[in-house]
Amino acid sequence: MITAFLITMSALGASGDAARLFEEAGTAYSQGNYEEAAGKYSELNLMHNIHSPALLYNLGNAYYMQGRLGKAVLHYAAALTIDPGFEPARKNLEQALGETKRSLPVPDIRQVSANPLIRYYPLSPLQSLLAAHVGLFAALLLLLARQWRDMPKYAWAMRLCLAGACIFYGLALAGDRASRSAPKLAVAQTEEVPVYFSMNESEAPRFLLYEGDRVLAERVEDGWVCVYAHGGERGWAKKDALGLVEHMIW
Amino acid sequence: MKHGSRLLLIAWLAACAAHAREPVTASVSATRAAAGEIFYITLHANGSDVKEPDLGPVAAAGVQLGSPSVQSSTSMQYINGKSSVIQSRAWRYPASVAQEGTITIPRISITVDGREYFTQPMTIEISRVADTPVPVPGKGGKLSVEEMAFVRAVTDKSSVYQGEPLTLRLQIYQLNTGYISITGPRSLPMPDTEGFYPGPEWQDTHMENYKDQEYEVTEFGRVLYPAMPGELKIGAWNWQGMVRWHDTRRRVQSAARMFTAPEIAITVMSLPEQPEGFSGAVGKFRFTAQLAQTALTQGTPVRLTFTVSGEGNPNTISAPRLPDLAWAHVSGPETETRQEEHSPEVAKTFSYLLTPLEAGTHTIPSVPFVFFAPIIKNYKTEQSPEYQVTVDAADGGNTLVAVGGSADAQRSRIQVFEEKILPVITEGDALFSESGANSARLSILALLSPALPLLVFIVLFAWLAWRGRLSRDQGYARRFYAKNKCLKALKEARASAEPSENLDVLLKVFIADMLNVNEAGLTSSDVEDLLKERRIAEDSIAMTVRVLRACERARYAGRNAGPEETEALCTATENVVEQLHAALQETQS
Repeated sequence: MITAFLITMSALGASGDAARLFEEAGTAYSQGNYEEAAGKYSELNLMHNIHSPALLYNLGNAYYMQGRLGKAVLHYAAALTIDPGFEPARKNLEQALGETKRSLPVPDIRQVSANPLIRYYPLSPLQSLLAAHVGLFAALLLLLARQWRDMPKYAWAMRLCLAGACIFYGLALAGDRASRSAPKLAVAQTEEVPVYFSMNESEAPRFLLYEGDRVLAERVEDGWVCVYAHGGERGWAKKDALGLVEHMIW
Repeated sequence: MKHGSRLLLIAWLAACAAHAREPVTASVSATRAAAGEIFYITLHANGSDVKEPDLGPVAAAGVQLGSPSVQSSTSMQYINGKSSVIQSRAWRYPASVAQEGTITIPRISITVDGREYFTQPMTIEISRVADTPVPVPGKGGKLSVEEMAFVRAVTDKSSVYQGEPLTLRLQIYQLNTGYISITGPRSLPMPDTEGFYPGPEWQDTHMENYKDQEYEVTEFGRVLYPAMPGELKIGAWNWQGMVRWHDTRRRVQSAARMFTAPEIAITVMSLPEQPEGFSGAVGKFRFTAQLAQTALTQGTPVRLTFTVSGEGNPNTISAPRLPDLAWAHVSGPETETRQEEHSPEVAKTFSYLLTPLEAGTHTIPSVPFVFFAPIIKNYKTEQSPEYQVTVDAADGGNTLVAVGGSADAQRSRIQVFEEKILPVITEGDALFSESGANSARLSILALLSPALPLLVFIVLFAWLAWRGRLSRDQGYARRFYAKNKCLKALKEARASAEPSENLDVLLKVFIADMLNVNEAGLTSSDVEDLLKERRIAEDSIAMTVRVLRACERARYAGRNAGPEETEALCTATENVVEQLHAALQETQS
């Protein structure tokens, strides 16, 4: 009991601290102290382990106002990953991308991924799950309809709905699993990010990424990221020069 | 003699082989054609490296050529261990000749393996009329196919200045009856417009009276801007099509046609010496300016918009130069181009954002816009009005940040906050709201969510199936209700004045229900036989028969049974019911 009370009190205290820090960051931002605002928002993000879309969005704004477009793009993208319907983040992301050197589009993950589900299946896991629910509900209604009038077509339709629900549920599970192993979105954080043929900095770069350019990170090895850029270019870039965020497939 | 004939045979075979190996050949589909009628010129070439044929001489001879269909095949040869790749290409050009007479298609050059080869010249007789007049329903007289459908390419000017807009109209005329149609290639080829910048394009359909006939005209309009001075040409518009019509008997007739519009020569004159401040615009323009308001507040931005509208290439119109305003910070311009549909009219706006920095009365001077007006063959200058503005001092000046130094230095370091992005979120509640789960990932709860409706479905299905069996299967229903019915009757019997009277009946009814037989006339011996048939344990059968007989005796005895005896009988009956129920359930299962 006492332990529970202490945990609750400490949690309340922590949330109070976070709220105060959030307010301070907002004040710093309104006074034009963007670096300070970004520092406080980052502290909330990293020390207090808060990953709300609003916080990531504010952090993106603070970086944008400092002219750090790469970080701004990264945080707006992160906010949109958590809440895809977060319209202010989408609008500011568009604005930030418009100011990058070339506003590189995100490569189509369906072309990169070897997973046939990602490549060809159009529904998201959530949509598949909803379809499965619809199938089950329809089967339930048909079961009741059979009691009202026992017709063979009701039985067949019920079996069909059940089979459909099972298939959609299977696709939802598979889609969810596929999304967990899908490539992440990487955003170039420095003015120029050289991309090499292999994990060798001494060779001539294959191509350059500019700050704010968005690519897909296929895998990460020994401080290097295998990136896939729009247009089908592939190569290795240093991980320090990139920011990674989960990518929305659907 | 014999030796000589052998030599002749060898020479003939060698000549045949040489002919067979000729890398370039040409043929025509017909040696006679009518003027305007389509025939085909086919070219073949074989070799390791085959280039495109040079058809310049053919066009010069008055033969109009359409887009060719090309066939190509590649084979690999191994001779004495050496491999070589052989390409075989064939071009099939639709062609037509407008003038009658004998036309010689000249030698056509094709480069094969770096060497130039020529085809043999071909002759074709062109007769006078391509189409015999055909009667068309709805039209009084007879019409030729050329009158039914034809094309024209026209420009609004033949002499223009460099950069001056020129409208090219490509028109397909089709006689306005419901019985004539034209089929063209899937992608209609457009004439070559090298030397012109492409402008807006449009397409429309209208009716037109041409040579006393009413035609439906499909028009492809496009604006062209000559890029360089000199004699430029808009290439001929050639394409192969099919005209279909219904004759007087409503039968579908068709004829292939080469639709041709000749090339158009355009004389492009260079612009006179350019004056200072020339915007680069050539055409017919209007220049207007608009200031959102003249009563301003220090630090509050106001928009000053210049609009150039008219006919001309919008890409060459540069922004009007706003003179330096010492009292304001100027940003921009933001440019927007709007193109009118189906017209060469454009409107280009240049929008400056002025942020007044000093209070007082100030002037925005007149801004010139210099362009070349072809109609007067000279440059023209339009002026925007001069604006007098009053700037009120701001209360806090909170939209400005001024940092140290002289007034000029302050101005140069002034940072204007332009609301390009949406502001930060300051509500504390938003900090902890993890709203909107990632649509690509599902929580465990979401993944398990179908379990509940599935469970509901299974339970409902099982219950409904059981209810269905109860209503359909009489034996099952009797068996299901037998025990409860019997125990209920036993309870009522116990409460009655003479309990022993009905004990044997209710026990027999119970057994009949459990075995799904008719209880009428059932004796203890029948019960014994039936139970034996169902392979019930001997001791259970014996006990059942014993209780049944005891009940019968109690019923038919002359005196009423005592309470202890009655209670013992009821208890024995109850035990028998329980025991038989369990035994028969086991047997059934």
